[in-house]
Amino acid sequence: MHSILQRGNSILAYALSVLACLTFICFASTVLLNYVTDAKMNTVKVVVKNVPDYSASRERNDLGFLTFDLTTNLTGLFNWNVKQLFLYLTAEYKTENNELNQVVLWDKIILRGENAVLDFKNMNTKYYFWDDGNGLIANKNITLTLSYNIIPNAGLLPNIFAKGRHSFKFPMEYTTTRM
Amino acid sequence: MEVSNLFDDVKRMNKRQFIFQVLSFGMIVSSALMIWKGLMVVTGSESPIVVVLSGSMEPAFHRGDLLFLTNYPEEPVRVGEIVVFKVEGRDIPIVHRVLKLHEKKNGTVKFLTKGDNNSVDDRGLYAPGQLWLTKDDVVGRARGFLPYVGMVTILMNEYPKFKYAVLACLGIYVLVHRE
Amino acid sequence: MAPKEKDDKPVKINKWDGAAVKNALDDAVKEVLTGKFHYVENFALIDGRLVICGIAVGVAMFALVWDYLYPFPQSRPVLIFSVTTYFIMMGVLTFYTAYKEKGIFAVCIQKDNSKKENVWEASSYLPKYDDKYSLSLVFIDGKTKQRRETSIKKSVASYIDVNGGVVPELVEADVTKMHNSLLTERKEK
Repeated sequence: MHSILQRGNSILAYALSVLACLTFICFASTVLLNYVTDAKMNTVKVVVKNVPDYSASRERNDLGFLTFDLTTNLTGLFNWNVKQLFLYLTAEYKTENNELNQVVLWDKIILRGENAVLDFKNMNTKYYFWDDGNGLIANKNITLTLSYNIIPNAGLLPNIFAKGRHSFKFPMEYTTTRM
Repeated sequence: MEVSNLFDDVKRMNKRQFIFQVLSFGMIVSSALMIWKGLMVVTGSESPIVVVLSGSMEPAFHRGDLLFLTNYPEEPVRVGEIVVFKVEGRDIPIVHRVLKLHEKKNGTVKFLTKGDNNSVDDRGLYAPGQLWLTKDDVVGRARGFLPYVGMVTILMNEYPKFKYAVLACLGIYVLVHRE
Repeated sequence: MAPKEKDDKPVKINKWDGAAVKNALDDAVKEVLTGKFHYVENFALIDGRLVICGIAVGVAMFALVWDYLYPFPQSRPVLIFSVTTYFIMMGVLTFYTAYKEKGIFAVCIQKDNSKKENVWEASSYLPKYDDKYSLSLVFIDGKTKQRRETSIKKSVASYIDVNGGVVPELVEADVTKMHNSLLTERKEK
């Protein structure tokens, strides 16, 4: 009859095709879902300094400091094909130098099963808010948005903006004191 | 089957059957090649599928996961996206997330990346003196994710003898086995 | 196919390997047509397949070399061309084997010193995991262009012994029977 090798080969091939099929079903079952949800955010304290950016050009660049509030409930985003959410808070603005600036101020990884009801008050940013020049001082329109990148078990990797944004302005003068 | 019988199939072939045997081996190789090149054309990326080789994006991507990339020139790079980029002097492309981005009016864009699992941004990984990435450094943007499948290539790269053994066995099997 | 090789030893195969069984039986049938009846094999059909495969592999190799010489973004138009050509050739090959060859493994020409020669076509079919070998023999009369067909469906066990050796005499007997029935049909008309 058939040799061990042939039997092993057909078992392996069959197992792999079943796995591939299940993976595809897992992907197809969630591909059309709408993952948009609401988020509320607000800035509490906003100051701007002008200090040398030693990590980049060594020139004096604008460095913004802010603390923020954030409330959102992301529980509804999770399903069997969402392994992880990568949450990030972006500041988007326009300066003379650049038509578009995007700086991630804060991010958070939420795995499935972890608490996804967020209610932060007066949070500090996780990353420095460096501008590429001196475009923060007196900037009247900085928009904060919350986005999330969905990491599935298998499938697409969409980046989605949460509904709800917050705009704020930077003060007209630099702060010189240490914070 | 005894080894002496292994080549019986081949011995019994006439000239045309033998040429066909070689050509069908060639077609297996070229099919793989053409699918790869076809994916390159469709996705616009020089390497449409990459295997994750480091743990710097954990827990989203682990070693051996597969990423599908696209690289359409008209599609802008945005913060929060996962880009695969090449750094001068490094053979292996890096898979990291865009943290900061500045886009000029004429469309030139510079951005900074960071691995989810790293505590600092990637300036230390870039070529000496390089502060930002530009579009030219990008191999592609991650659009799809498939776990574990790339493990095979990692195994093959780590045990070259295993790789050659597998390739040799497959090659001999296809050449000897008459369809 | 050098004649002396056939005399060396009887064809022995792994009888559980369907593809090997079919190939061995096809070879035996072909051997009857060319060896016993002294018909001359015509290779046009298989040559056609070889040309299709050759073009496909050639295009793929060309794409590989071109992409190496002119790295990706530059080579895009050439890649589009070769990838589409390759897949078209694959489609053509599928059509060719499915509708033109239809399992025909031997086309033989019966030389009878007239310009209009009789053509014999042998085709076979062996389903996967099955032992029923279907063989059909087509005779095309050179003068009247009449086409006659006869077929037989038998277990491969009737041609292959316990050890996996093909018994040429058994194959020959059946093929000769089919061959003669086609010829007598002609005479009846």
